[in-house]
Amino acid sequence: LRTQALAKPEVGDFLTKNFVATFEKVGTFSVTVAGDGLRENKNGGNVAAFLCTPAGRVIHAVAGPRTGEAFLAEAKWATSVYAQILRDPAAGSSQASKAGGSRIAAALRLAHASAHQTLTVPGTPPAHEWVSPPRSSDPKLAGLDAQGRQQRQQVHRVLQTKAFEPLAVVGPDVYSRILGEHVTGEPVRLQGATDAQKAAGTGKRLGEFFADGGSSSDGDRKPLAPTPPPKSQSKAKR
Amino acid sequence: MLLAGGMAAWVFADDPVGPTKSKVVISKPDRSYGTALQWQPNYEMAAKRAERERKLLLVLAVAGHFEDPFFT
Repeated sequence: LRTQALAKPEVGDFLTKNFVATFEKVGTFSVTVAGDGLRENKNGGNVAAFLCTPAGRVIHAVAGPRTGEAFLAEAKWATSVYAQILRDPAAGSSQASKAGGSRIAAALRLAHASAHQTLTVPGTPPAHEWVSPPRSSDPKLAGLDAQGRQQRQQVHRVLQTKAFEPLAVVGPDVYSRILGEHVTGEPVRLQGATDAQKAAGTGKRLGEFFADGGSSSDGDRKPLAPTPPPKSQSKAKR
Repeated sequence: MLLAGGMAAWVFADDPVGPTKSKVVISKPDRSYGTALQWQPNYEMAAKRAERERKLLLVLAVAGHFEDPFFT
């Protein structure tokens, strides 16, 4: 998401105009560094973007990576649907009240149900714009496009009953049920790079460390020693 | 703060008034992390700012450390 959608100027412009952005670490993954210390393999981990009110009520979620076009379409869909709901005097004028909030929630859930139907039932006309984003012109991104459409359908299905719930309620549901990730505060697991961990301890970021060839500050390209296999606890106890 | 030599007046580089000799120029930290937008360092700050600026809130839930591409 960082390298595809969020790096696009048009996506950045739209988000900057309409959103204040932040990030939270909610999951983990593992990085295995090869014996030469120059190559790494990342396993697991995923990303989800939650589009919320300032009070943290979820309007929409983008689960998983997207192309720039697809992410922009979903962000535009969410902002235009929410703005349209707020323009409705019955909901917008009393959004702070319980009745207004429940009217917004009901309208938002209806919009998600409608989008879900448009995406899953061929021939159903969209009730709002931006339900069907243009496909990426880059054939290399066809797989990402297809996966994104599938994940979007799943999000609309979840949010047709849970939209406008607090992020603390919807977030784990989307992250676990749709992305299959475990919500955890555990640190990223780094394997095979004890020297790299030491380098990070000196204030150098690991990305920089590897960009420099995984070497110490004197510039020598010293290969990292692979981490010895851990001794099993049961053996150690004996 | 101590770098300013005890001067009270701070301005940012893009302050429309512009810096004067008596002011210390501090560049806004770049918190784009390789994206085309700026990120608030935590949820509370972002929520307050969104409320103040009448904007919506974008919360990116990530596995790993968003600030370091190696760890995301």
